Amino acid sequence: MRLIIACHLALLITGGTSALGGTLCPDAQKQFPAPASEVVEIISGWLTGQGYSVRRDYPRPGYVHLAAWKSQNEWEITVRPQSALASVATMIHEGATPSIQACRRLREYVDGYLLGTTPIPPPRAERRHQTVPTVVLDRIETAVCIHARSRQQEVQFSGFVVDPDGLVLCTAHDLTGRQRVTVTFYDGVSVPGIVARLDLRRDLALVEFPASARTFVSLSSGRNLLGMGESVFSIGCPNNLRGTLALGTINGPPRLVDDQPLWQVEMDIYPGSSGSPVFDARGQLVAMVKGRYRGTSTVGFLTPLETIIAFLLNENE
Amino acid sequence: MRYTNTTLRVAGLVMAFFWSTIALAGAQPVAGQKGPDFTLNDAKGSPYVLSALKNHQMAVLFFFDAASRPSQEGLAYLDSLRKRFSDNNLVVWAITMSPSGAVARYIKQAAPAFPVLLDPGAVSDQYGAKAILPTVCVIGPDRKVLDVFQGGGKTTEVLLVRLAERTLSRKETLMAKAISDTVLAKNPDNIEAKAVKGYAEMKSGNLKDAETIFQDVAAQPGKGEVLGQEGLSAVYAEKGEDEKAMAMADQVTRKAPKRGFAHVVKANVLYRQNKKDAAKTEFKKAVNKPESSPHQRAVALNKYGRFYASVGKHEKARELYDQAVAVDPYFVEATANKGMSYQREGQWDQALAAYRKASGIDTTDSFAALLARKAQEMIELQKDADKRKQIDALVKDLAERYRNQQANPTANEDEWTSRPLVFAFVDFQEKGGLADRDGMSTILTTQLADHLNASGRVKVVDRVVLARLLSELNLGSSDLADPDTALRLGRVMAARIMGTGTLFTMPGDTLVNLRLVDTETSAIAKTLTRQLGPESGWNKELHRLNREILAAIVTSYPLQGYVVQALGDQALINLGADQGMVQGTRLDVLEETKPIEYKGRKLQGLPKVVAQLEVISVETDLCHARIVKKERDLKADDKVRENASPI
Repeated sequence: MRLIIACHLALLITGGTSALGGTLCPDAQKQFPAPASEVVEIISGWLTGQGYSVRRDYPRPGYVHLAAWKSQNEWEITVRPQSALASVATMIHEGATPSIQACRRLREYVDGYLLGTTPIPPPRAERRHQTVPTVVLDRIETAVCIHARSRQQEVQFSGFVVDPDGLVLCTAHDLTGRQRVTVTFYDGVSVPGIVARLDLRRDLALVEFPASARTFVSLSSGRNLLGMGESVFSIGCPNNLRGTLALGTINGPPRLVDDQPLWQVEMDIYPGSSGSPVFDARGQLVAMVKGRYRGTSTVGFLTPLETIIAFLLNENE
Repeated sequence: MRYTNTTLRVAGLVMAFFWSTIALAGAQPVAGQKGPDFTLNDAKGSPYVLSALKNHQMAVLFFFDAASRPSQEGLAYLDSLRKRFSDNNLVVWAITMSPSGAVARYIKQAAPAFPVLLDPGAVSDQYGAKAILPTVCVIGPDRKVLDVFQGGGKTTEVLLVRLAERTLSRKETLMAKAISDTVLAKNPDNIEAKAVKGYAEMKSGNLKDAETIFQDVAAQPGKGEVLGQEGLSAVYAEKGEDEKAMAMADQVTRKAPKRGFAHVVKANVLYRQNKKDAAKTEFKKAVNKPESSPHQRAVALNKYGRFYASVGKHEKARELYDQAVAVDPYFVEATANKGMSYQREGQWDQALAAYRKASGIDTTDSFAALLARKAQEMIELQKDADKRKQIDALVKDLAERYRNQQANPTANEDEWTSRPLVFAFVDFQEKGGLADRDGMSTILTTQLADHLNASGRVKVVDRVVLARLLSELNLGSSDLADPDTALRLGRVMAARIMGTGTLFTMPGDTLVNLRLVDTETSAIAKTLTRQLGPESGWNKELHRLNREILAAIVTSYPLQGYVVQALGDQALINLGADQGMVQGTRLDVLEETKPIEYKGRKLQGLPKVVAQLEVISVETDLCHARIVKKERDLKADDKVRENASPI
């Protein structure tokens, strides 16, 4: 029913420029902090980069309409100014890839692009010389790799043991409830697991596995409040490399993304890093890697401990 | 007698045979000629037409024998490249006269990523590809033959190196690197391939990697030393290490007096150091030396042309640009520069033709496309008599006012309400080195003006009007460097803000320094200095610059107006599209606070925000706004001001 309303809304907004019955992306009213002409360039740059053919037309003064198509995917996007320095985009997607996912990718790319062009010179050179505290290195065995089969493709991401009797915490995107997955420990041992609880809104999931683990991350000794510029360390499984350490710096205040608070971090985050535990310099759990901004590999987001606890206590906001 | 007769007859036969071979192979096209058109079918019967290829596609016609392994070696390399890179601008056609059985076996075994065309013989004949196989013919824009290679083995390496160079001038650095790597995997000692890789790294901005590669090349004796040092001199020049670059280039010219590229490096450095005469001598030497790769030669010719254009000798410049295009048609800068030289002489038709040609060869070249669009507008304007008359009258009026030192009359009793914010761009001064492209500042200001106009918030004075006014007043770019002149000009055009600045071509980068000057107060409203980085990122940087200019304008010149009418949860405001109002803009409703009397002095506080509005529809000179938040009901004559805070 919601979908039908969305379709009607989409048709209303595009003024009937197309008969496409796709899905209207959520947050259509959320603004991009850049002039419409720039947002159009960013979006069409992304589309062309993804192999789409893009056609551009101007339905009304100030409005730009992009139609893009590639094999089984289609986009209808209308960008209009929202003051001289901001714009909004109505995006409709139809195709083989789930629309919500496609919408999220596109929006994240544009957000990341705009964030990336804002001049914040990161103190990267110094960071390289930092050493990893031993208390963090001690946690290396708590991180695991998780393999799952989503609709078509094999996905791989990270997680960490929270209960030695067989519970792993990880991110929820790309997973479905009661899905079977494979959990691989630091020593290379793999066990089958099953998704026991899934919260797509918080992007958190619990995986149950029938074995006992030697080490685990204690949630009760975790820390919730991080300082700006504080160094953090993640251990994960990027590109399927077990026990990869990444150093990062908290470089932005918590932001609300889809009503969820997230820390912004400057850290090397690669595909597969999602779900990595993040520790402070004393080895206390502070957050979990949620993902990176598309288009960058050094700006990422962390799910704070607060959200993790709320998820585990099954709190409803 | 009888004996002689027989000898003669045999000799005649031999001659006849000889002639026939000549007739067979004699038609082979040479570089620069137009390749004969043909239509051939592949094994499935789909036709392939040479003349149907577009100008931006480079075609490699690979004539080979499907039954002989050595003649397939080069194809195998091209195939693996084709499978790794989806470069639609590189077309490979394998052409063979082998019997269909052998072809079918080849296709089955190699599964090539390109079509294998079956030739009954005529095409191979036309291309002189019968006696020696493989024969490879590289076809460029307008079906011109660029290179011909015959034979396998070493020739395959030469072919691949040349392809890498051509790919590099098409700015496909990744692919160029991959081709060089292919050659190096086959023969790690191929110094030419290494050098191309070095230049590819340099072009993608990895000067450090380029330096390492060239040092490696230079460590080899003989030709390697020369090629390596040539590359190193270019790297040093790009890094701005002028002395090292000059010293290295000197060594190369001493060791290999026939090579030209080191002279280009020297000329670039000298030009940047403002030693124009010495630079000219080096450019001249560079284009007269016989040993250079096509791309290097094109670069030299183009630069020499740029030099002539910079001193106003457009005829001579075009001659050199043409020569550059003849050796390397993919170096589109030369073609675009030819257009710019026509444009500077006011020959818009020819300029347009050149720009169109450039963007036909490189479809991703947004600058050539932009220049073509502007030239087209200019030509249309010239045809539109009414519009022209209008502009003539306007220019005459403005020139009159400028001479009489009058500002644009502004009879306005309402001091609070914003007037349209007009912006004028004076062409930036180009300083520093000689860039490959001519007219960078024109491209830059045109592009920025387009972006700013698109925002609806400001209006940029039409370039045409400005150009005409300058010529009417006999003002050149040197006069505009004088801030007073620029300001006076801005005032007569009723432009509140003048954008002016410099464009520095630095080693390895381009720096833009933009100054926004308020013509009423002559204060500098904002200065912005930005590195534009490699040309491929210019569009992105210009958009960012546009965003920063707009942000500066919104902060320094917020729109101000009045509530005309309050209608329930909406209000009518006396600001419209003419004043730069954009839908979605947020407005604060202000209320002056009462001054506080303190020890005989009146203290005036900041105005208080009593309500917030969001503009929901904009008309020519008014807009409707929705009341988002309010502390009191709105009434007519309430002051409003644009809220400049970011979203």
